[in-house]
Amino acid sequence: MSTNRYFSFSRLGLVMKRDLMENWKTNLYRLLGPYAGFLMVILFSYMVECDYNSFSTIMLSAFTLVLVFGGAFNASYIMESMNTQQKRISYLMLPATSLEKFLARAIYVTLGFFLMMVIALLLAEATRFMLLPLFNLSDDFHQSIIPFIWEKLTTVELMKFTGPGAEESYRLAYFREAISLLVIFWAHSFFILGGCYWQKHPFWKTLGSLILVNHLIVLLIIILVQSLGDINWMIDEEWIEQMEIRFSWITVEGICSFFIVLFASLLALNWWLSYRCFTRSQVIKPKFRLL
Amino acid sequence: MNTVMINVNQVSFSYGRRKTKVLDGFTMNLEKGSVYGLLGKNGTGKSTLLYLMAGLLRPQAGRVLYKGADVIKRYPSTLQDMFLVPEEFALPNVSLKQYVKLNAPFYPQFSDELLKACLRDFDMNEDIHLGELSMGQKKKAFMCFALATNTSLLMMDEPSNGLDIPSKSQFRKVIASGMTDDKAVIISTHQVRDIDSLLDHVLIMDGSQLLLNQSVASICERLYFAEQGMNEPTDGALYVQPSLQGNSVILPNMYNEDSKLNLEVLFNATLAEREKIQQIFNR
Repeated sequence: MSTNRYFSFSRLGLVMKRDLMENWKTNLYRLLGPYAGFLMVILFSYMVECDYNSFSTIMLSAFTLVLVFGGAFNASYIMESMNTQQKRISYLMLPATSLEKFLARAIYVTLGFFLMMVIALLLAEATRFMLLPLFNLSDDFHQSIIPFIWEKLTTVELMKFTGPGAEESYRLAYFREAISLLVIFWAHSFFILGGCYWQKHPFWKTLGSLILVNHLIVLLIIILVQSLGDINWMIDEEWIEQMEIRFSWITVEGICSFFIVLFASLLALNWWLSYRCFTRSQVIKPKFRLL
Repeated sequence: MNTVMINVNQVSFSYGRRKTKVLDGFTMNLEKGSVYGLLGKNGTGKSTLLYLMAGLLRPQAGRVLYKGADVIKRYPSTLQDMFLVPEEFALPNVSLKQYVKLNAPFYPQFSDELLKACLRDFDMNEDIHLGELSMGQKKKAFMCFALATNTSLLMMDEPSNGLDIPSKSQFRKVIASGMTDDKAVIISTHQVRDIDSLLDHVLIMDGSQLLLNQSVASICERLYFAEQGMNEPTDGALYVQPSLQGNSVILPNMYNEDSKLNLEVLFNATLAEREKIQQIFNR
């Protein structure tokens, strides 16, 4: 199979290297920006002299926020290398397959972004240790917050529902985590799609579209559920039980599996449309009918 | 031996469904070993044709084949064998050496010697930073990179725009020196005086039609270009254009006399007297 027509890892590497090195200043700023943000959060926490538990929670929130919103923002700039006519010509004429060029950008805005955030966090953590002697803080602060953040982001925790103290099962917790992750990845893929379609202000245009789509989905769900009968909208254990009795033919696993399949399909659809949009790119602005 | 490099076959293109077609059933073949001059008034579709040939635009009908492969598929094998120098281009904020290091591996025929020779011709050296150059210098550096890629097809859109007077003659020199029998260069311009001595073949477009598609040798064989005083008779001339000396005229070359192609006059004549000029070549 000729790599001159099909995929080549070495060429993918060349495209990524070119992208990284030619835009080194932008990449540096994208690393320094979150680093400065984390540092500000650290300094603020040090100055208000909060306890270590609060500090680690604040840092976890800051990292998660940057990861989610920064990830979405970055995803919407997947085709930053094509946001002007000159750049479009340069990128489209680059001798690599469309898949290599698309993948290079996709890796940059997903794994590359995650890696940059981790590096920014590590740098902020190193700076935090250097600044420690300047503040009168407890010994707890001498431990790293990285293991805490890692544990919180990777552990599936059981959630207490409102009701008579009943905890959810691990079975349900894994479904919940899977659906939450899929929704996040779906929303992320929506920004990827928006980034492939809109050249100017892709983040805001995608955000607007996402809000609209979400409203439509919620409306659709309400109409769908209402059509099933009189429903109590307080989702708790009782609600689940009620649902299980009323609709015994529908299991919780069934519903969860349906949503997992739905969002996984939507996620795949968005990525496929994004790739299609890229392969159909021309020197002129993308046309909806070409999707 | 098949010498056709690029085949534009029945191509139609418009910038919108309801907009007028820039090209309608346009057909043309380019062969290797020639420098083509693509001439036309503003808005006649010169850049559009170049973009279509480079696979940067998708034709609504017809196909553009480069050595048998559809250009819109943008295969690396096609892209590494052609290079487009657009009228406006983006260069990154890196040194030329770094730029070459990052981009040359995509072009298997890239020649460092050609790059150095071209830079020398333009009185530039390799130790330049692309972010610190003027527009004209950027253009020269980019054209040197384009030539150094050693691709079989080099397309240039208004290459002499932004170049100073000495650079324009240097440009002609570097194009001529980089030319071989296996290559083709297509230069789209409306500044005909900058390239007239460089061309082997003239293409004149107007309103999505190819009004003239002839080699320079064939043009000079059939047409006689002359400069005449104001009082000299112009009887029998196909076209007369006032000039500083008097009149620039185009006459049928009845006696196989040699004359130097005056591209500007030919261009104006083809637009003004298209039937007369076409008749000469259709004989």
